[in-house]
Amino acid sequence: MTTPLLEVKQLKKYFPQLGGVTGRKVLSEVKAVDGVSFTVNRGETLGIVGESGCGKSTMGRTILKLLEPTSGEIFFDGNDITNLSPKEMIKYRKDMQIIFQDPFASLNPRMKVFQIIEEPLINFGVKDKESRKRRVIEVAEQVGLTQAQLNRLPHEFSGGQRQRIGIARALISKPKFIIADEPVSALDVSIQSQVLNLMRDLQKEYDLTYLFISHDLSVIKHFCDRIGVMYLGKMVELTDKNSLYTNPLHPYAQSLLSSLPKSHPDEKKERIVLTGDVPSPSNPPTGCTFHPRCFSCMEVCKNVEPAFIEVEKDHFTSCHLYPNSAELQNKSIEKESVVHV
Amino acid sequence: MSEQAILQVDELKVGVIDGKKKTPIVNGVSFDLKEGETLGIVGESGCGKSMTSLSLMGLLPKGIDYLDGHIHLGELNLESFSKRNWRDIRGKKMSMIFQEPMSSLNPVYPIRKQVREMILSHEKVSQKEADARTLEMLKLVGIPRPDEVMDNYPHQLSGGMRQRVMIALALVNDPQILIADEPTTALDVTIQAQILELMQSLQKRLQMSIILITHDLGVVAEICDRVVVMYAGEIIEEATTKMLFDEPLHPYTKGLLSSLPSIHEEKEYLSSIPGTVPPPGSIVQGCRFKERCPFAHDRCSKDPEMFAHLNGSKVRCWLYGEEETS
Repeated sequence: MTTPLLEVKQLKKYFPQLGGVTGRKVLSEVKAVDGVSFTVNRGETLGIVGESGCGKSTMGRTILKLLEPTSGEIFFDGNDITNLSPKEMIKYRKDMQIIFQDPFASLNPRMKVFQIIEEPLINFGVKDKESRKRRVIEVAEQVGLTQAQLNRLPHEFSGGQRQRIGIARALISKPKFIIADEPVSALDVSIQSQVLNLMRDLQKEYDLTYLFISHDLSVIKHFCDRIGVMYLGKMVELTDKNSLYTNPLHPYAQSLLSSLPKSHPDEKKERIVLTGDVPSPSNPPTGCTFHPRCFSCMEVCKNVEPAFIEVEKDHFTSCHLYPNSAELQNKSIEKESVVHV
Repeated sequence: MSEQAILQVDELKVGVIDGKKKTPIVNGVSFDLKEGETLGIVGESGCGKSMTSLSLMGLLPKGIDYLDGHIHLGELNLESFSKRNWRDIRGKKMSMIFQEPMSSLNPVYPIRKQVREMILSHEKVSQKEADARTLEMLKLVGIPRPDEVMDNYPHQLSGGMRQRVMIALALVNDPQILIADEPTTALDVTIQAQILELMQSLQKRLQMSIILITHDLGVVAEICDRVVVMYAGEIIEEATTKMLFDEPLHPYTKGLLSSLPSIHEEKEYLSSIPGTVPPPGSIVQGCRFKERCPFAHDRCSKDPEMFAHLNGSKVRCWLYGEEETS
C-alpha cells in the first residue's frame, strides 16, 4: 500500500489560559485538541463531525500549521512537517490549502476578486504575469465565475458566489489536499447543493483529497467516504460512513445520529436525548470525557480513559463498552446465534 | 386542535420606505394561525420570513413599515397599533424568541430580574410572587438547579440553557401565540433536539399556538402541523407538513426538498436549483421564480395567484392553474 497522504499522530493543541498579577502565569489549559490520530488516504474524503467547541476547526488549522501544535506529529506525503518553520512550510502550502466557513470574513473586502485568487500564485513565486492571469481565468471558469466578475469586489457577490471565490483561491496552486472547514454551513440549502456538487467535480478534476469538517451529519454522510466523530478534543469514533450510520459504536455517536431531525414527518425515530451540556474543555471530566452525559456509563468510565482501538475492521472507537475486538466478535457471534434461533 | 383562527394575516405588505419610493420586502402575504397548531414559515435567507415575523410583533426596524394589508388578532387590528398598544400585547398575548439567545438577553442583569420585569410589566404582583413564578417557569423549561440559575447572569449559561431561559421569559405570562424565529439554528444538533422536544411538550401543556420561522426543513418535519413556503417576499405554497413532504407542488419547493442531502440515500450529486434569489426591490414581472424554474413558460410572465390544489394545498404557480379554470 502506498503511504497515506496525511498522517496525524497524537496531535495536541492546548491553549494556555493566562492570568496572575503579571498576566503571564499559566492558570490552566484549554485542551482544544487532545491526542488525535488518524490517516487520510489519497483521493478520499475524510469527514470530521462534532458539535461546536469539540476542536474540529482547531484541529484543521493545526494540521496546516496555521496554529503551532503543542505536541504530536503530522506527516504530509511522507514528510514530517510538525516542526517546520513558517518559511520551510511554504513549499508544502502549495499542496495543502483550506476553504473557510464564512465567505464574508475570509475575503479581503478591498481586493478585487482577480487579486484575491491570484495572490497565492505570487506568494508561491510564479513571476510571469501572463501565466498567472491565464491560470486565474482558468480556475475562475472551473468554479463558475465569469471573467467580467473578476474585476468586482467581494461585497458585490452573494454567499454562494463568495464561497466559489474561496474555492478558486484554494485551487489556484493545484493542491493535493484541501481542508474544507464548514464550507457550506453559511449557505442556503439550494446554494449548498450547488457548492457541494462543485467540490465533487473539482475533486475528480484535480485528484483532490479532502478533509471535510462539518457539524451537519447529513452533509457529511453525503460527501465523505470515512468519518471521524470528535467530542471534547478527542476522536471518539472513526470508520467508513456506512458502518457509522448503520452501526455507530460510541454512545456519543449513537446519540448524535439519533438527534438528527426527521427527513419526513411520518418517520419514526428512537431518540436518545442527552442530558446536560458539553463540559468546558479547560476542565474536562476525568476518565472518559463523555461519562457525565453517557447513558451507559460504568464505574470504570469515571476514572480510566478508554483507548482508541480498532474494535471491528477499520472501525475505531474509544469506549469501555468495547474492551477489545476479540470480545466484540464473540458478542456478534452470540447475536447471530440468537437470530438463528 | 380547533379550527378557529386566532391570528389572521391578510395581504400583508411590509417594505422599505425611502422618501416616496416604497420597496416591498414582504409582498402580499396571507395566512391563518389556528388555535393550538404549529405553523412553519420556511424559506431561504432574504425571502422575507423574518420580516413577516417581526411585523407580527410590531418590531419592524427603522425605515421599514407596514405598506398595506391587515393583521387580525381576534378583534384587534395590529398593523395600526401605537407603541403603547404594542407594549400591552407583546409578552402577554404574543411572545417571540429569537435565534441568538445571547444577544436577546440583557447581559448586565441576572435571570431573576429579567423574568421579574417581564411579569411586572403586565401584572401587578409582589416581587415575591413574581420570583415564585419565575422559579416555577425555570423548572418547567427543564433548567437544572433553577434556584441557582435565577441569580446567574446570561454569560454564565450555555447556549442551550440561554434558549431555555428565553423560552421561560417568553412564556411566563401565558401567551396565546409564540413566535419562534430560528430558535435552534445557533444550537448544536443534540441541544436542538432537546429544545424542540421542550417546545412541543410546553405547547401541549400550555395550549398555545406556535409560529416557527426556519430555513431547516428537518425542523419543520419534526414539529410543524402546517407550513407556508416563502420565496422572494411571497408565499408560494401552503400545505400540511405531510403533504409538503409527500406531494410538494411548487417547482421551488420540489427543488428545495430534493437538494437536501439525505441520510437514507446514496447519490453522487445532489440536485440543485440553478441561479440565486432575486434581490428585494428588483422588478420582476410575473412569477418570481421563473428565472430559475425548469418549467418556465410564457404565461409565467403574468403574476400567478394562489391556486387551490386537489390535495388541499395551495400553490402560487401556473402549472396548477388549469384545474380551476377548466
